[in-house]
Amino acid sequence: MTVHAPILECRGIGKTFGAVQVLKGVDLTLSPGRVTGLIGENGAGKSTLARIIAGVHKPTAGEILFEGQPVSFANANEALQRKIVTVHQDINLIGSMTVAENITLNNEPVGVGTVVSRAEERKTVEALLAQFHVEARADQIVDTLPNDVRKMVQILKAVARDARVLLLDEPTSSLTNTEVVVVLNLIRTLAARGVAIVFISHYMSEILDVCDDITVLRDGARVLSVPRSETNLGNIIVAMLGDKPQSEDVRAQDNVDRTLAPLLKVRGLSGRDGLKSLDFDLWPGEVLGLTGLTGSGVAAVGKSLFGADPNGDADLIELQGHPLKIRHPATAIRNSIALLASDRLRDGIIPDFSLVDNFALPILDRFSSLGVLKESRMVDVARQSFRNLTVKSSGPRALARQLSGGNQQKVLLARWLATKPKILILDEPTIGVDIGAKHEIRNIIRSIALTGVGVILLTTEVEELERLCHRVIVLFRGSEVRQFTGAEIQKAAILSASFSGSR
Amino acid sequence: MTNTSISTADVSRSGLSRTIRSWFGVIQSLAVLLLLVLILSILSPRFMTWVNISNLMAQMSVLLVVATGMTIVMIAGEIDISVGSVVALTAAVTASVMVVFGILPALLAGIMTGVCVGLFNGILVSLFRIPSIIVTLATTMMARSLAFVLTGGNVITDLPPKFLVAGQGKLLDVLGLTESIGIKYLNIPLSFLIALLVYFFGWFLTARMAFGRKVFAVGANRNVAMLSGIHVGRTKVICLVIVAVTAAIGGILLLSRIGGIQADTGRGLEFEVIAAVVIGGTSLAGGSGNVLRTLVGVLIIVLIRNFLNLSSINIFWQDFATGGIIILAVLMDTLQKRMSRAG
Repeated sequence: MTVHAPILECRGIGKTFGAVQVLKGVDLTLSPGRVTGLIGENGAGKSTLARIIAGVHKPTAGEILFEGQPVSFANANEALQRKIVTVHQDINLIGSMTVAENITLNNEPVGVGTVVSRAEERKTVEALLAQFHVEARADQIVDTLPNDVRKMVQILKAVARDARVLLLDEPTSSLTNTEVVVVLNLIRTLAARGVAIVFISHYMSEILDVCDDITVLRDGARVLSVPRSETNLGNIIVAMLGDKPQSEDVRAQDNVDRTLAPLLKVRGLSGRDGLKSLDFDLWPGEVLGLTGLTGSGVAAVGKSLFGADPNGDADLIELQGHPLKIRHPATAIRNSIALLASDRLRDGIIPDFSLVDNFALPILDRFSSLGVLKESRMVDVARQSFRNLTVKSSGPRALARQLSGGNQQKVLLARWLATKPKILILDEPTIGVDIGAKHEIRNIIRSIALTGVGVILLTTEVEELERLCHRVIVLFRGSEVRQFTGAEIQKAAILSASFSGSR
Repeated sequence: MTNTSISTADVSRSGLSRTIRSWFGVIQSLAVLLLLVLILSILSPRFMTWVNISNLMAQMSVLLVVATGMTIVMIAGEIDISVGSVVALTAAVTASVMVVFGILPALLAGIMTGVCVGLFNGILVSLFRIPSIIVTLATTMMARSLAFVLTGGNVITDLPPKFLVAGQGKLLDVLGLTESIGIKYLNIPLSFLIALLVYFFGWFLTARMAFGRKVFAVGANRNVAMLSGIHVGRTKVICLVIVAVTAAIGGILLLSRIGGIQADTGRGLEFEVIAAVVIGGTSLAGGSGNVLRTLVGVLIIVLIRNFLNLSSINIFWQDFATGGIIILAVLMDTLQKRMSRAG
């Protein structure tokens, strides 16, 4: 194997956003024909590093050498001119346009004058598709293609720009197992043609399969950088987690009696995000954690169970022995099931509504007689509830937009507690809130469980699982791979199961 | 973002300023209105006469009724541009039924016309997710065509005098109290009282009832509404039925006032209605709005028309003036929002 000179080198890259240091003196060397795997937990700095290389962010320290020359990209376009191309995690193609139109978008071959030459466009694209064995025709509408082919079209779009450095951000997270193989092959082919590739992925097995070099980031610093041949899964996970002191033991006391009949019985739950056939039981007073990576299906569990996802379905949902068909959240709410959705702005808070209006939304009918709202009672109940959850605001009539993220989240918790749930589904309940609020929300969750409510906690924060859960189920590509109870709930074991999918 | 540590002094102050700000909108529109009235009464001596004012009341009743329904549907994030045609269709149906079967069946048929059009619009919008502007564009044409078919292109007249009382009568005259009370200012047109009733009902529905809160939620964020157990589609259907029924009531009132119907009636009414709602501060995006303030929008439009009527200015300037005021109103609203968000 010939060793090429590096095409791009990062030296001591640092980046701060406000007071937060996201990257600390990171080195990274990319060479033509080599695939570099970039690994780390959520928030380790992978995406920021990729964005700096792509010219989206400017580093606050360090320098970037392109073919040995220091460069400083003012914006993403300047990086594009050097043929540094990013393939984003989401498939960002225009579904109603053809494969050829998508691939050549903003890069159209120019015929007479500035008119796009269709014939030439088609020829180039057909050649490209054939060259990389992608099973699509140039004139096919993108929306009619299967997922993996769409992903490959997206990668080819980068290839068509003669990419010399290709940044792949989670290219396989939306794909199924067989589709992954096809995309990984494409990546190898591209490397063989001399492209320098950065491969960001949560999937260890893929990283180990496809990469030549591996770089691990932890808390913004590079903690490992080795050729693939000199490392293994165990080393990588140790590097990722580090020897952080274990969090103080506030593990919940497990008083759950699992010999009793379960509160909720779920069989064959399916939905978006690859969720297929998940089975679980939930007992009163139990905090059951469900976790997994992007694409494991964990993100779809809440809405599928709650009847909020048209793609969601279940073979069986039994609440206290009674079978339920939940096709709309109204049914779920009527049966004392509550869902705190993960995307606060999209699915939770209405910023221009007052706190009390946000609070009362699912139970408006309980606050009204003959359809007329008892406004003052509504305000009183909301005020009491906000006080219990220590919401900091100027009162129930304040606008939701005036509150911090943590306080908005508490208002939403209050909303769902007011429905008097037997089952409370919490989807990423502490995402995007500050440390103080995080701590408070976790305490609230503990006390809710103590009242006999069954809590389903969907989270990608492993630390949260350790602190709150009596039992944890790890999902991998749509179904359960492992279950942990009590003292078995350990960060390393959970991560290992989520990343490798091994039982 | 992070005003988590507000002291008690700040709390009371920000609460107060919010109340003032929400009243500010109402006060501001009233001020604009008063100014307009002042200018009009100076420019035209006939403006402040009771004859003119009671005429205005009668003239604005159709607009007020339909604008009330339009406000509700716009809060839900939808729109109905078929109201002008539905006014004509309802008038045609009511008149046709009335000459054969009498008043009560005719009123029922008129209202049912509105209900049917509303259901038709609503089901297409909710079930098939077709934008309401497209669906109601189609109904605009269909309803107008039906009105022509029903009337055969002729004018239907010869309606029972009893029916005409609603559109032409005045409170004291109808009660037979004109002589005994003798305060002419109480002799309010009946049609205006009916319009006020609908207006009050629209306000009560949106501001005081659980359904109203759901309408706001659906318009503000359909995901949040759905996840809160609100049936988004059903709510939108009801709103589209409400606006069509207000158009039907408007059609009946108009028929009663004019005493006859021509299939061409109500052309362009939808523009005046939407203009009134927008001037009243309701946004096209849904989720915000105020039925009370729609009255201000209606008044502004009617007053401008009246002023041009009374003065010697060419009546063809009317739409120009209304258009200008729409832009002014929306600009003022945007600026105010920007300021309150910055502060």
